[in-house]
Amino acid sequence: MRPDLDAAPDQSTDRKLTAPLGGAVKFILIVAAALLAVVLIFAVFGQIGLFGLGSGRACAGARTNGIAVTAAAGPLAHLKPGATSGGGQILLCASHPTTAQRLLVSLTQVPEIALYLAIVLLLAQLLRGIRTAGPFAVTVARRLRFLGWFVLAGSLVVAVGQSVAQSAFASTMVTGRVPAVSNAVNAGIAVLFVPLLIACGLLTLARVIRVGARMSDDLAGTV
Amino acid sequence: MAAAEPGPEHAIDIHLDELLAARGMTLTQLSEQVGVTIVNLSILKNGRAKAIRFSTLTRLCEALGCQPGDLLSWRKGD
Repeated sequence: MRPDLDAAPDQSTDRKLTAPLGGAVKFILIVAAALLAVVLIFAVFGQIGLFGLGSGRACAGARTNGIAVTAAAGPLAHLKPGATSGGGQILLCASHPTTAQRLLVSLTQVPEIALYLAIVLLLAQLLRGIRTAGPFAVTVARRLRFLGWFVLAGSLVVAVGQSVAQSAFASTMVTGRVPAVSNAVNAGIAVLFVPLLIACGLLTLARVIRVGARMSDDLAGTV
Repeated sequence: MAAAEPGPEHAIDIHLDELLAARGMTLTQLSEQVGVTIVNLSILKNGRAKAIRFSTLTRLCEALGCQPGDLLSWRKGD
């Protein structure tokens, strides 16, 4: 049994401890659930194409790297003299997509949303752990650590995976060769910095919480 | 009466049982006098406490009319 403390406040039941993140996470989960429900209903039964679903067109972005762009003036019309335009990304749409194309379009969009949703769910789990076990608990440190690695690995896997799906979809739309490998490497490098910084922060915080948990444990045994 | 069994990290015996018995006091009475919960006094009595505050020690000594050395002793290892 964990010894109780005469002087220490009972933080385990304090919901204010996890504010404002707790409220934000709850709000995001409610909005996400509502949006997903609405979007899926429209995508399945409506005329729009979303995540590769629905009866509409199936569209996905594609890097122009290695794909020939034939427009002489670039992607934008009515440019003023001396101005040029260019874009690293174009939108490719299949008017009558096959099942495979729909699946590829889904794979260019769904993983990112799933990753964000998973991160929010992990955050909710972390906050629940803080509320039940207190802020300085080994469980909290473990969950923070997992979240850090999940953000880093998840972001990389999703970026590379979505890029591969984009390239695969693009290769069904153009006759030329799509440089899938270099696109995937570029996507991975482009997305790396922010998740790496977040992961470093979370892993450091996990270490701090672990030390705090040890100190809290010592304090809990003090009479 | 045997002293409380020490925890694995220390070799300090707590003689709260003997002092209470000698004074005819119960743990509940002591708890009321020193303002420490019975749960925490039990933890101390059973040697499961990791540390004791000087303030707690002071109040225990006041209530029991003893010196810290009467309450605590170091058990020499084998």
